[in-house]
Amino acid sequence: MTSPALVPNAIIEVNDVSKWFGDKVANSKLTCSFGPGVTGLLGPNGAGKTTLLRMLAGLTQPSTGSISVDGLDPRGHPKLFERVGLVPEEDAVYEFLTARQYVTYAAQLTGLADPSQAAADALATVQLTESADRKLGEFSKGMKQRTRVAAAIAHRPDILILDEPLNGTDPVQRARLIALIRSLAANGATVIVSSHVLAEVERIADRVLAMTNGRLAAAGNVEAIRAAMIDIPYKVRIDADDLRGLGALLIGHPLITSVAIGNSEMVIETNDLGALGRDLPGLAIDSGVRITRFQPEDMSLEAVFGYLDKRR
Amino acid sequence: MTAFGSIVVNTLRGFLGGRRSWLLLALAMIPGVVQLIAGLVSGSAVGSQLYEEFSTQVLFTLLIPAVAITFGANAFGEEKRGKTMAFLTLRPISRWTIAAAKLVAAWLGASLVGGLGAVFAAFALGVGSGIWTELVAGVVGATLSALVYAALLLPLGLVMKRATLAGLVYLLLIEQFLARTVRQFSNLSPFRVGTSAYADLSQFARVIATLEETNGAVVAGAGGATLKALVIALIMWAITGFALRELDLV
Repeated sequence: MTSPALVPNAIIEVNDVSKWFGDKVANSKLTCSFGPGVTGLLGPNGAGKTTLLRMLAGLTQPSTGSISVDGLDPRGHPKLFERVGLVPEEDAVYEFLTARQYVTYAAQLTGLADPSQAAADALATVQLTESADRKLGEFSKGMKQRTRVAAAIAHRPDILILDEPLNGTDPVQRARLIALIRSLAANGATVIVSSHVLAEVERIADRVLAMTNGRLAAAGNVEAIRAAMIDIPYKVRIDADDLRGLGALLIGHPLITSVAIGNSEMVIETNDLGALGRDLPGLAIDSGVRITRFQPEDMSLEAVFGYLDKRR
Repeated sequence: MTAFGSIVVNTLRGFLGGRRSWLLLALAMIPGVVQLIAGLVSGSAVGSQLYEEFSTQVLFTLLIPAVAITFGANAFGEEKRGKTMAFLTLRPISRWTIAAAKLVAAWLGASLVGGLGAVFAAFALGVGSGIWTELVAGVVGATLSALVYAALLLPLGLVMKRATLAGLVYLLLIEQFLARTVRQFSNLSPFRVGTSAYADLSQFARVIATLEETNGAVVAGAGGATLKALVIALIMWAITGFALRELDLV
């Protein structure tokens, strides 16, 4: 086993999968696998995470390559879905149903012996018992999200696929959902969680697959992904009352890799934004320069993933 | 409840729930109410003439097709628009079962609305003119007509974003206009399945004459009409099930 994108005890295997829609390539030659525990699928919007998750669930067919879930093609083997739960990215529920009716419907479709009890248990797990008899059309985005999670776990799946599950949730709900996801994984479930927020994935996942432009950019534990990002140069835009004086101080500073001074601002590049943020105030005070703006640029996840993509 | 039953029930909830049910009930009652009022105000002859020239025409060539087209197209169309296809399809049930449940739901919903319309119209005929023979014929005709239109639109709703609009445009342009002008089109129109069964069971001969005069030759035959409706439904169910298995559903 050489690639960090592969796990030894794989439940889901993705083998050289590409997917395109017309001219647009959504996924390109993906090979990876997923086993028990939480795997975070990290990437900016448009990286191809949702398409991959849809293929894992059998909603979409790969253009080339193959996907197997416990040795079976998820398309054409509906029995698999006794073991699989999916929370799609879309904020989609039947708004004319109550939360209880919605989750009961999910349990009925999965063929559970006591759908009402399963729904009540799942709603209790996501702390929605009190609102269970309200119409979903009246719910906030976060409540709808929790209802969808309840519907996905009502049949106690051992494979759970969650596409941006924390979207729209407040910090308290977020913490509870993360605890829930981790407890499911602790009980042996294979959980795949997609997100475009690194900090979010860091809190949930033991293992991360980073995607950009439809390809795998990095794989491994969170530390490995962070290490892959450590040498990304950050651009910082600085305004000060004496740009040239400040520029003279920064040229040659060990944390600074480049300095560009314009008429009204200066743009510097650094590999260690945190250390620079700590050092710069002292430097400015010592030299009598007043800094009026310190704005890191290029810190969007898109930029980070763009960098990872270039490194491949 | 089985998965099949729960899909039927929840699809019907979507079709008939809330204010929509009152609107559909009002639509279904229009022919009967107009006929009842006219009969009571102007006498039994006017009432039976309205049944012949207005109620059956509106029911069989407009109301039932329009409702069945809407329900047939939206059985999957609403799931696609609402992005709930994944909720429905990622279950341990076959796609054929899902297709069958959706077809039954669309048929039951359209039959309920169309059947109520037929019942109101037959009731109004009975009250206004003392003719109480049309109830069964109307309900059977409405039910078969609903099955044919709902089945025809079921796969279209799965693959087309504007299947309802396409169906209604077809109804208004082809069936309401072209089929009345060019008889060859009339002979191919799906509404003839329902009217064929109705013609066989009806004892109100003038209605059949009017249907024929307006819509082309109606061959009376409830058995043949039932068979046709079932064959159309089976073919459309098979196409829908196949599409559900093979197409990307998002």
